[in-house]
Amino acid sequence: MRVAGQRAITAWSWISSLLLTGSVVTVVGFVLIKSLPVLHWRLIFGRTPPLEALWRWAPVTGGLWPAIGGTFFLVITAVGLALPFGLGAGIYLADCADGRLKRGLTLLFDVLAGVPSIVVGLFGFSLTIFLHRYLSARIYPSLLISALALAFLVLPYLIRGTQEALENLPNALRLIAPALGATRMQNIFRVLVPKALDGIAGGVLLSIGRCAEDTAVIMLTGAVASAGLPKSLLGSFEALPFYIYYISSQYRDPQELQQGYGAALILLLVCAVLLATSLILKNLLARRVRGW
Amino acid sequence: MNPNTDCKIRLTDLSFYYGPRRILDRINASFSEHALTTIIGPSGQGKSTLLTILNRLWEEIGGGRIQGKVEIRLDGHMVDIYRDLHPLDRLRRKVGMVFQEPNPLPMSIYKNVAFPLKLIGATKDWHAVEAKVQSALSQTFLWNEVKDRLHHDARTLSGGQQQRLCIARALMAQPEVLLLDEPTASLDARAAEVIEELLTRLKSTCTLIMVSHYLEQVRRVADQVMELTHGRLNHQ
Repeated sequence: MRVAGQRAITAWSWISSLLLTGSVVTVVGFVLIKSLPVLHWRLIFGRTPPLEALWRWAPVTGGLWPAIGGTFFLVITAVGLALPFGLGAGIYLADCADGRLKRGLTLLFDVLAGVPSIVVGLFGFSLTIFLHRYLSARIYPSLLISALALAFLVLPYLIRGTQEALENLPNALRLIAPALGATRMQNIFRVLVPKALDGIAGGVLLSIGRCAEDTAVIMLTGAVASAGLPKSLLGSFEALPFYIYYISSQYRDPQELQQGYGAALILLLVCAVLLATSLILKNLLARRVRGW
Repeated sequence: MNPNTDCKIRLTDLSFYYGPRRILDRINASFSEHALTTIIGPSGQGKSTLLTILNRLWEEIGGGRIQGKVEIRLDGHMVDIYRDLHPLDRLRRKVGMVFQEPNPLPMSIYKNVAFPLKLIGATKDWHAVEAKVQSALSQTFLWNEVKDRLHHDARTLSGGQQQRLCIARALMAQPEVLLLDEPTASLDARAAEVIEELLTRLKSTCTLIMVSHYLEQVRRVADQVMELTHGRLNHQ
């Protein structure tokens, strides 16, 4: 009976893994096949020569270049805004807070993680109206407002990722540096955080993915269909997820729909580049800390 | 023992509690300077806890409560470590500790040994740091074994080498007292022998207090033996 049970669990594990891998391959393959006919420089740069767009910053019409740039700026700004607060709060929860306060804050961040992105988008939109009315009439839905709203959306991933990575460290490790005369902050930043880098990086990667794919937030807070490359943080912008949503719901001919699939493939590539960059940065940081 | 000069550590009516449970019960004891005192006794009697009381490391774990007085002669002055507002980081540099399991930090051999200097910001003079690292590694008979791979991951060393590395790291802070919590428990006989020889030599610079379960080892190295049973510490 025990052997049969073990075999059943093993088989179920294999089936689950194969199903998930198969799903990913199917989705990526589907997008790749559908977008193959439009995979050309024109998909990205439209009628503008690529070198003109890249070196001379020439305006691109009818291509995805502004949306790619907008997505990069958006993700980097949002994660850049969220990272210091997410790390700080995660470290506080793992190593400083205790008792009722810790339980209360943990629950609060779990609730925050469950807030639908459309609600966060509406909050960002309301914030824009409030700031426009009471702070400056120059404030409109913009890259900054979108990035702020996305930062708010991904904060729980960063906080809980950091907290769990630190809390999962063995207790013996926590005592090494204090036994050598390290202060609490030295212990946290010289030993515990470097050791928990892999776990923390997991939260960062999740945040990057979430920022790159979310449409509900940006369509209410600053993304428009034809803004060009973002000129400033207070300007409107284009973004790939918004373009995909827009083109797939309002396409006029099959060619436009294919462009939507092409944009989806490019969004996957943008995510891969951002994830690879953050992994490389994490490894460089780890190597610097560990010194071999 | 001359009470004014030879006594390095004095415990007066020391009791320790975890929640309602009393672990140590009104202990009165003195530990001689430049001697190796071993604490023996059955498991779960509070031997490791007693060590962590001497450098206040139990406070990092929390949940405990202490009564009584712990005085240690530091820089020539008897200091009540729980009342005299002695800076905690300085106390722990002066009262070093080596744990039962070798615990190198996840960094290179060199960085592990230089870590205590990094903590006090004393790593600007690279030549001085290198000299100190070499001296600490030589003191623990490790220099010849690792001099060609100082920048390798410290966790690639054998168990015995890792434990000597941890002792070298503790020595970098120039401690006056070194606490050793069963330092040879996870090592083979040969590695344990090397550590014993090292401890015998260290007596000239440090006061050593070691928890051990191996009576043969205690007979070989100890100058003073105390047994901890039912919360009381008795001289042997």
